[in-house]
Amino acid sequence: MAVTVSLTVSPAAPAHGATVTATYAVSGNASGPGTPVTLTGEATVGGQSFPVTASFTIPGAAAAPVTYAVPTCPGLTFKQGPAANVFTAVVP
Amino acid sequence: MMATVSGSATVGGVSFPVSAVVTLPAPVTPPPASPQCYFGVWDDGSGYPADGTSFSWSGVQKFSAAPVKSATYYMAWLAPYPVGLGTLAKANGATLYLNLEPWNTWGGKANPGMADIAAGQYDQWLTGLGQAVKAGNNPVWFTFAHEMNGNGWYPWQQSGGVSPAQWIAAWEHVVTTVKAAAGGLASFVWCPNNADVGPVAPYWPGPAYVDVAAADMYLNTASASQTYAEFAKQTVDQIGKLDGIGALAGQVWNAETGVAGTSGGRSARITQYVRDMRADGRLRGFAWWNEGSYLLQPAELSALTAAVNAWNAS
Repeated sequence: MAVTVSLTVSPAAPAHGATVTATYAVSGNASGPGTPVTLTGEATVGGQSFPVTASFTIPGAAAAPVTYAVPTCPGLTFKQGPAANVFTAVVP
Repeated sequence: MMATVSGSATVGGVSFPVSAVVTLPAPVTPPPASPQCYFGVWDDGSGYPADGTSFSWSGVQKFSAAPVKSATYYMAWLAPYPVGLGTLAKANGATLYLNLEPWNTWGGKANPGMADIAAGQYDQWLTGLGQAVKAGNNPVWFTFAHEMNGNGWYPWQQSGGVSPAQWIAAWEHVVTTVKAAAGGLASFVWCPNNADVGPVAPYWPGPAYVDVAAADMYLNTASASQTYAEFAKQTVDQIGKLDGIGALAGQVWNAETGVAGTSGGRSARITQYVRDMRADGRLRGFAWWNEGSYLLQPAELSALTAAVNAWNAS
């Protein structure tokens, strides 16, 4: 699945003194599901064959690490918000 | 006006640039940065009432030989907004400079903690201040917890157990909350003490939270024989080096000042001090503290207003 990134700003038309929140959203970076597999084999004891099986799940791919740059905008100074993907600025 | 917010996220080492559009309000016109001296007055003999509800302009009027642009008033925490003083200021073409002080709480209530202020515990009062400014329809300058870089005379200094980070958090919250209700009429004056008591940089919240960079810079009893260059200039120099200070560095306001009494010759020292501030080129003016050892005698008052008029004519 392709990775996409978006940025939203709220409120879209803030007033003086309002706090603007910029939030990143990343999609397509979820960890992949595990894959169940079955191993089959055979042991021969005294000429007699014993088929055997074993099952387990191969772990999926981990999500890639994500970092977020501090947004920039003329007239606004963004600072880190309450989450890594959230930044806030006060409209002067 | 439309503005673009730009950013990027890096996912697994790959950078994804993104942007969004925001509509920002028109910038608030900053107070004029003209060569005119932004001259303010605090005069304790004005008859400012203890009940905070009725005011006189008589103290400011003493300085009317020069154009007074600002009247200083100190507000106890949770005190009522000085509507009457705001009306007088507007009628006289001046701006209120309100010092919000987080102590001496109105009604004998407990003094606020800086963390509680930052957490929003006093938002109702702060919002009310902003609403009062909007209703008064006249610009108001505010400061909050000033002289924070000092040591030992205010509880919001480090001697009171308040770290610079805690101070900044409270400052940002106060600025944001008051401005959100003030309809663009509130400006915030960031105001440390003269830097001889401690560096100003640890308390700098960044330009997004400051409209006027200032400092309280007296020629006080500790510097009674000193000059602007020897004592106050160090503070203006430090302000000029603050991160992101930009144009604010060229419009510094001496938000409280005075020349301590000496055995004669104070008029000449006042004249020289004002002349030196003007000559520095980075100051927009000053507010005179007319109280205690800085109280002006008639001849000294005349010297001060003459120096302001000379500033304006230069």
